[in-house]
Amino acid sequence: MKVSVQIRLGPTAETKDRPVRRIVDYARRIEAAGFSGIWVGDSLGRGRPTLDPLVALATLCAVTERVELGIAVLQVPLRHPVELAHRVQSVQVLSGGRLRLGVGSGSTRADFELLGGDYDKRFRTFMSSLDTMRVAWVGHVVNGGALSPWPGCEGGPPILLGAWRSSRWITYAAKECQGWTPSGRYSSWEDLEAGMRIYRDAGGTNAVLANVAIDLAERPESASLAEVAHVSLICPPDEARRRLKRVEQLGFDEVLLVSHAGVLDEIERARDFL
Amino acid sequence: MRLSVVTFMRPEGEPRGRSLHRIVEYARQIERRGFPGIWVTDSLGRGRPTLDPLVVLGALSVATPRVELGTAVLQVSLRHPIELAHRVQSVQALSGGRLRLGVGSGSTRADFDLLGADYEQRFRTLMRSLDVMRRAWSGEPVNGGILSPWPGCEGGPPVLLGAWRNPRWIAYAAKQCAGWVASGLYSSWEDLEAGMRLYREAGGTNAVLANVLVDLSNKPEPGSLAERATVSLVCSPDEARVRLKRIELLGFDEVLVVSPGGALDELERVRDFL
Repeated sequence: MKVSVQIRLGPTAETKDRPVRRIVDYARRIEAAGFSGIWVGDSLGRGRPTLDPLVALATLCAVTERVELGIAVLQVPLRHPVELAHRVQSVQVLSGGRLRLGVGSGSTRADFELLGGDYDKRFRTFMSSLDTMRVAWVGHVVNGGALSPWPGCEGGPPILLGAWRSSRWITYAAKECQGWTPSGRYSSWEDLEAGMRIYRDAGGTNAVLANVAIDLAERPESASLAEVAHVSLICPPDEARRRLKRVEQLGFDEVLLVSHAGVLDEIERARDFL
Repeated sequence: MRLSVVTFMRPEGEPRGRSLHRIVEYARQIERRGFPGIWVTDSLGRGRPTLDPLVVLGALSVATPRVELGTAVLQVSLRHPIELAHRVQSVQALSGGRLRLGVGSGSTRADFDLLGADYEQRFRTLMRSLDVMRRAWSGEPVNGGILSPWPGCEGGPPVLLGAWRNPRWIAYAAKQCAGWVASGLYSSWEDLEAGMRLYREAGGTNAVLANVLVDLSNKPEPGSLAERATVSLVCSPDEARVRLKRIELLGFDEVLVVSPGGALDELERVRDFL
């Protein structure tokens, strides 16, 4: 099982003027430590400052050479699909093919309300937007025009579908996408087990568990997250080892660990559990 | 008069996967040679591959430590204003405040057709969107939510308004924005003179002439932008000196030059004319 690092794109008090310094330093350390990938999340209306994931990944493209660069997951229904397809292609170009595009319908009403998006129609919007983006990436006509594919980027990047346990979506992930991305934050162990069965039965070969929070020191600031996150490594090292093994035994090909305190040592330690 | 460099983000025949290296190397050379800013353009439905300007500036935020990073100009009317405000704020934060946001209504129908946006309403959309973006950047409620300002980015970046010779827009640029952006591709000398008078009378203090093409060999490709540009330095060196002086005498505070072949030596030579 591959271990990658998910990073948080929020401000910290000590780097108020130049968030880029902290993010760049962290990304370089992640790559130097030999992790497979660096992943970012996507939110914008939840009462805290965030960075746009595609802009942030463009920044990471410029400071890393080898790691995969992913989003877990981009809330597609919040955006205009063709305009989004252009931006995704732009990151695909700058990354030299390292982009891994996790996509999802979104699940947080606040993000939709900020943009005036239709929360109740998000699944339908998601499916039609994915179709539109794929059409755009091959240079076919959408609306009244065509997006011109950048040489080498025809067809778009590998897509991983974020889904909890809907068999329709997980089957879609297996058959139409390059991966399935459930979330440790929102999926229970039972969800993961059931989902994995559906995914493998449908022929899926790349299951990525995103958003697994890690805090081996069980810092006080992790307490509330430990309560709500269904699958996390906010626990003592021995228990973390057991849980990570369980994730592996469920059949996941990759896990994305996120240290909210930004402690890379703990993620390296967890990798050694495997 | 300051002289900065515009780059068109198109494939230039580099090996696949190496576009970022070419773009970053060019940006670093621009910075090393002492130009104060790097500006990018915005198009997506015109039959050739392009990169999203904010994504590109995300990468340049780390590739260059000092230069101003600008858009000339971002077609605001094509995008969702709040989602766009979030992306702009992201670049503002990552660049450490170096972003100069040139904005415009857009003028090319193909871009609107590709996105299914309303070309006829583009001026009205621009005005409304700018208003929404400013409120979003200040953390005021928009739609049903709030975009949380990134610390240090409250109020958004300096906004420069792209306009030709419409008195209403130029007055708006002078009174409500941090600059006025005219275009050498589309404005005649008479437009610039008339626009400058309006701008100064309305109290404007930062007039930027964008997209002035340079080709001192005076051999534009037939049918190219360089051949069609209304105010350009596509001419002999002696004539270029005369024209550049004329731009300065018109009162422009900054000129953004672009070399279709990317030749920075030639842009430096032009700078020495001043």
